[in-house]
Amino acid sequence: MQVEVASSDLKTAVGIASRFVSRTAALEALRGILFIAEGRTVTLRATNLECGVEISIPAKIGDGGLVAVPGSTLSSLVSNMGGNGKVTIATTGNLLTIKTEQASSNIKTLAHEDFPILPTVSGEHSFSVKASEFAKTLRSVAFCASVSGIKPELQSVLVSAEAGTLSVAATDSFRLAEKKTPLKGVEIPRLLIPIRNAAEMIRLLEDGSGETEVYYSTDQLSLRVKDAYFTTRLIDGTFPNYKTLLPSSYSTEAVVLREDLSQALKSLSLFADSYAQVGLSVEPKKKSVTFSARNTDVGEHTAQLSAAAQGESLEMNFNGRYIADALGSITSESVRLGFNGVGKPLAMMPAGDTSFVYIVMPMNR
Amino acid sequence: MTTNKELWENVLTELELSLSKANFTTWFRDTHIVRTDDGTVYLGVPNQFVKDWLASKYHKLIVASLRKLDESVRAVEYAISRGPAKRETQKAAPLSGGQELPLESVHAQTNLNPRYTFDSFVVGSFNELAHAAAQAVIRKPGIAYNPLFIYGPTGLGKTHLTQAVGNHFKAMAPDRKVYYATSEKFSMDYVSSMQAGKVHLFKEKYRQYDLLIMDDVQFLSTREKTKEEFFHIFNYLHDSNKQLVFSSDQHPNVIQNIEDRLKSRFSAGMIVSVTKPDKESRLAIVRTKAANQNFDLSDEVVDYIADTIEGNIRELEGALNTLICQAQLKDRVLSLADVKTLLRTVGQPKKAVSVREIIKAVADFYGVEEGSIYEKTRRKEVVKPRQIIMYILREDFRVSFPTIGDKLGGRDHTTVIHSCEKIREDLKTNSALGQEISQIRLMLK
Repeated sequence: MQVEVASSDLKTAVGIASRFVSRTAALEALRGILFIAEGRTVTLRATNLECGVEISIPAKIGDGGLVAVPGSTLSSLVSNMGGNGKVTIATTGNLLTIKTEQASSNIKTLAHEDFPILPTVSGEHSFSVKASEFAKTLRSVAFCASVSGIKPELQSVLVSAEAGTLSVAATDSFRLAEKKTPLKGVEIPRLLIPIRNAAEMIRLLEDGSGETEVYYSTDQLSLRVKDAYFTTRLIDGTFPNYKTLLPSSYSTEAVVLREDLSQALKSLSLFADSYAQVGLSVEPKKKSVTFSARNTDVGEHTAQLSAAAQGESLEMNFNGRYIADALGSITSESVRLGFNGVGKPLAMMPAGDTSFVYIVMPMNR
Repeated sequence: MTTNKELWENVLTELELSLSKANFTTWFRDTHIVRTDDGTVYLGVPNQFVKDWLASKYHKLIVASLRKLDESVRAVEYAISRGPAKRETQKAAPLSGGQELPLESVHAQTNLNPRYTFDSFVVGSFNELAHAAAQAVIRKPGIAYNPLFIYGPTGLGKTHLTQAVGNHFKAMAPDRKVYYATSEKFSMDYVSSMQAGKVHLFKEKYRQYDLLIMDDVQFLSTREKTKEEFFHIFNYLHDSNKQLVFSSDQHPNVIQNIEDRLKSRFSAGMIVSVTKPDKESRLAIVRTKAANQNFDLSDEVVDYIADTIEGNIRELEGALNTLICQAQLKDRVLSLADVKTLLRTVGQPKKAVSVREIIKAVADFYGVEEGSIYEKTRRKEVVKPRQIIMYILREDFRVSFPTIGDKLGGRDHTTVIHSCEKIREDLKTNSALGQEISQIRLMLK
């Protein structure tokens, strides 16, 4: 193989591909990035057998061919590469030579015959979404997905669509987030994207512009963003029927300024105990929501926020971090808090917007 | 004949030798044979990556290895399946300390346990009618059989069947409302709504369902107000063609303290019984339950379990769990002798019942004076119970004919023989009599 590519293209492509490299795989090839030089492009492929990516970059090809090199070495090398000129890549024996204007390196290659192919999704199930919108939608719930592997179905982001609405949701069983956006004319069955793969998918989509076509089968989902092809396995499981958990009405409601709440939670986090427990009390008569935290080693802190509140007054405890997490997905000026009494979850929504809802269970004292 | 599992293990051993360790573990871990069908082996693989790779790179090798061990293999197909699930057993990260959302086990809104499905329900001659009726209800809810009333002794899968109806219905129509409650729960709901002065909410709650399942309705019998409320809800749902499913341990006609208006309403739809499983069904049940738990049992052990534990499916399950637990503890396959020792204690000991108790039970059941049984009267309403007593004493307790005659007011043993014969004959044609006798037997337990 002997090719010439632009240094900036190579940097971007290796940057993306290296995120899919499995560093600990038993199969050596999986620790590598495969270069495929053919026609007018060089395609970089990487996979950890959970998800995989292929990125094509324009190239001047002297000699086509295949070569695999260790991903970690390559990405460190390329990210430190100076200059914006051309890079020449060539193989000699079991060495890959990468030459820039200033530097030249020889990297030992891996057996490319062992490098797996990426699945392509067959069948005609597909839908089209605006890449950046889809990324934003997914990101607004992804933080809720479970990190523990006990329930694989919760280690995922749920994507489904019906009646003109695309719904995504995630939960770790302590809290749950759902985001809806309009999506005309398609029905998507419940697809469970593993959360780690979803994170990579979101990063790719964020780079994209315009519409992206997403293909899916019962086991696999693929999409193309710019010059990258991404594919991930889907989880075979049943996501809980969470819609029934979303309250339709509240016995107590309060609307606070997002900025106030965010600041209060930051201060509270200094004083919260190891479970991040904060007390929350709503007093509609006083038009206030009061947060408090106490840590025997540090001290205690109280923050009273003025609020437009109605319903019964109440007092509950929550994980402060969970409440703060939601503010990453609520960008409106004010936040609506909904309660249904002791032992029932707190719902958080952007004021005047029903497309996002976040529910979090209280803590036992 | 080798099982699929053994066959695949042999293939794996062979492949392991011809491949590098890394390749072998990467591509063949978590693979298994799902089924074989007319020379085609369906291979279960964990994901699409593996599927594509095996199909394109190792297909020939796999086929060759399989054929070497089993000449009937003609083709290999790949399918994605999680297979014998190896669930990770790591502990939940105790990061929160908060309460959990009620996501599973019992669906908050339906109260159904998702574990009870038709897939896990073993159908045999003892419950096939009930199963068929349940299926019909699902196909035409509110129309086919409304209400569906399933009755039978404890531990024979009534709850399983009724909940399976609910789960299936819910899966088919997620937007329809299903609710499962025991009659106890229903009463509690009613009482607490009364205490809170919110009976209207209670009424609204139970009237909104498209499918209402109530378990153990015999317990309603003692609660007058609850029964009345139940009656109104029943009428409301039935009139709006909402499906109702009930279970009870007795036929509605013999549940005590239930008014005729309720009895006739129960009878309006379909009343089916589940009886004790026969030997074949018990074998099938043991096999299914063992397979569900990935536990291998030899045929003689399965046979022994099905022979020893008659009747109650819950006991079968309990015995099986004992065996699984012991096998895991001892970490070896249990022999038939082991099984025999282990199960010695499991079977239900026959309760000693005195003749007087039996007479009293039967007399009560038919509403005749206990004393009249001993008398020399030939009144029809006394003769029948007396004959049934004789029959039960003979059939269930193996009491000699002369003793029976003696105990029942000094009757001749030929009279007793005649009575037993008569009941036996009647049983062949009169199914109501059969039901009555099985009810009496239930009461004697």
